[in-house]
Amino acid sequence: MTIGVVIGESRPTDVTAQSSKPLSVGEYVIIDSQDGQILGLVEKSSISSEALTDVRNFDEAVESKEVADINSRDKNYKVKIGILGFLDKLQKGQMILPAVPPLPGTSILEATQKDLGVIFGPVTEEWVRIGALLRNATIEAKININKIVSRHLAILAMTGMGKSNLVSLIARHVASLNGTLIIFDYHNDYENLDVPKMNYMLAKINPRLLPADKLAEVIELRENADKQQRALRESFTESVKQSKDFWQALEESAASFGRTTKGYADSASRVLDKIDDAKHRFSDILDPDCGDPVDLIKEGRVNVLNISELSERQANAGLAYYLQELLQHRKDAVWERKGKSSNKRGNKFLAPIFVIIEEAHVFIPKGEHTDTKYWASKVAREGRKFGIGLGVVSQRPRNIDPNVLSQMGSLAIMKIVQDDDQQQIASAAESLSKDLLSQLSSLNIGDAVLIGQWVNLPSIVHVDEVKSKKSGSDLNAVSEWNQTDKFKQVASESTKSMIQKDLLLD
Amino acid sequence: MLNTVYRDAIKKRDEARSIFKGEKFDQIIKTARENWIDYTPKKKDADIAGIDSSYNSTKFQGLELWVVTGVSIKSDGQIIHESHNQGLGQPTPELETQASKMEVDACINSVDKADLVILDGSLYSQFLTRQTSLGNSITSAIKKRNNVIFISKTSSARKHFERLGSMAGDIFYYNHAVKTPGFSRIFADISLGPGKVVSYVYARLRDSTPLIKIELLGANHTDDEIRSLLDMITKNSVGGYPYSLKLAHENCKISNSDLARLVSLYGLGNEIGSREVLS
Repeated sequence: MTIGVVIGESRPTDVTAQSSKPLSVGEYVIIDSQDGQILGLVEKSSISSEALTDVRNFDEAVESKEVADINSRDKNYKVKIGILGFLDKLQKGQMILPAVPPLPGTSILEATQKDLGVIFGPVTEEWVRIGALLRNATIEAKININKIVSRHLAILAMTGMGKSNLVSLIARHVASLNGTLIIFDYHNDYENLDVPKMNYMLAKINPRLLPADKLAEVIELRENADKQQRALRESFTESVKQSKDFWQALEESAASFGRTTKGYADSASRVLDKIDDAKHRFSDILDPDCGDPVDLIKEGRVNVLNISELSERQANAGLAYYLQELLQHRKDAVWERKGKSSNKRGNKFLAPIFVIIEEAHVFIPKGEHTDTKYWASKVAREGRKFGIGLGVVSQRPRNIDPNVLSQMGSLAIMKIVQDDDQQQIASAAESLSKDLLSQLSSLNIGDAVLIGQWVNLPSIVHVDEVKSKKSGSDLNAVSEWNQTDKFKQVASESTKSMIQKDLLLD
Repeated sequence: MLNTVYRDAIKKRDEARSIFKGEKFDQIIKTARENWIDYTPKKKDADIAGIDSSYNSTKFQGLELWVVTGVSIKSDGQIIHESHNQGLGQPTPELETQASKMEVDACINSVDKADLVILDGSLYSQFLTRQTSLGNSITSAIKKRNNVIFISKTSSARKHFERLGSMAGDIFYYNHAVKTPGFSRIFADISLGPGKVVSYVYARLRDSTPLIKIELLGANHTDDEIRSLLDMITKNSVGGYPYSLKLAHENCKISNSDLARLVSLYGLGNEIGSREVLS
């Protein structure tokens, strides 16, 4: 059915059309061009009224509204349509743009399930359902899991717009495919993630395995406390690392260093205080007897590492360690498969893994160095070769390192209002047009613009809600306060009934 | 401009502004108020056709590319009649005559298809004075159903207050005298002789909207007839002006950029420079 006609100047990349009805931004249409049918995406949509233009006051507006209502020619529906490529080629996975722009006068047709189904919902096993096209709700929207593992993923949105829902959905799909997923959960959002055989654990740091400067970070020595740093470095010997009681050996070594090295008594004493403090405060996290924390990660499962108990510096040190080790494991596995490995340790991760870092702007910040950032960018660069995919999740894209962000081959962008966030995304994603970018502020909860290699075409989708998801949602304070009151009543009633009357004092 | 012109303007300011004040002005305003009949029109359903025409041309090297259009359109956007003419060379007859002829044709084609037909402009000055050759055609079209009126937003007629020494048009004084809806008493101009009597009133459809001048053919029109007309016009009016006339104007107007496109279609871009038309 013809729903519009190309008007004005048309280009191989976009056309303007006059439509018979309002079309939504994000809607797919067919441009019935002279060289074949072309798939287009509505990027801009405007409605104007002849009668309601240049209205000078309220009375005139009311009168104009009345006459506009009776005039069937009054409304002007204009759309800008971005050209995505020839339909038949897109259905075969090729994006071919027309060499000659569609002629003005070309008909615009409604896109049907038959037109779009093959493009957005391929049936091979690497394509998994993520939702439906926002403006063509009957069309299933799928993503290519292979592409996010090999070319990485960024999920960017304001708080409460559905980031953790999307992560949960991806986790479910990875679980159903027996894949390995590791989520670094900074806010303990995924503890109750409803995924079969989920491996939930508190992230631990084995201080024996850290280099001295990282140990200094996790026990929270100040960065500029040079003498304390040296005292720790000198005390943290190989024998300490090997000792049965790590903390005792470290304390003895530090005390001995303070006694024997001139001018370091105070610094060593301060280090001892810090060690003692860390031993007590971080006993759940710093565990010299936990072996290699990476061993706790299970292959073929969704692993949620709760890092919410860690301070920012500790989390940074921990994440860097995990990323480094995971990359090394994958390298060993790949080299071994190719017969090039000389490493004798058993390779834990034989198949590709996908790592998701929540609150990525904290660990991979723009303009400052962190170890996590170093290893994350290394994973982003080398991950494709060694089968380790990186997923960064953030509500502050402007604060993420642009080099890392630009290496994310796929993006899910949800509602983003801040202009500088949008600009950062625009510079990281070449395929995001200005018009599509301007739509980001008007998306609703669960709506996402998907671009990059995990989709055949840029698309605006409504992500399926993970119904049984118990994570990431806002607290209902009012309801919980009500519950608290009820609990108090229950408590007082039950207590009273248990006390013998004659024991009550007046 | 010469500075002396500004200096002179400052000197003459008080003299010029005497049109807005003084005994004579007050007397005219008083008379205008006495002439005014307060009436708030009620919206009355009516099928109204608006008629307008337009012409434009561009001259180059002794030649002229010209276009004339005329249209009759209802408030709901339905076009009743449209016509156009265009050519290269000297337009014959003159463009204004062609445009007026198109309005007459549109009127003839509309009287049976609408409750009320409104032409933009003046019956008196356009058809009975300047284009007298069309006088008979338009009057016979009007007389067919007596449902044709003429409306203009501006008028320089000064018949109402001439004897009081008015310097501006009647519409100027009515505008200053009253801001409420209503209409002036009916004035019948018999100067063109029997059969060409034109009656007219100044009217305001809504509070503080601009005045319009309504002309009707013939004498003996009554105040109730005017009231009924205002009711019909008000139903589909915007800012005190009939919407069908606005639509007619929007549909038939020939802008310079329209003309530039025609220059291009005629293949005269090299001769005339298609952009020159726009300047």
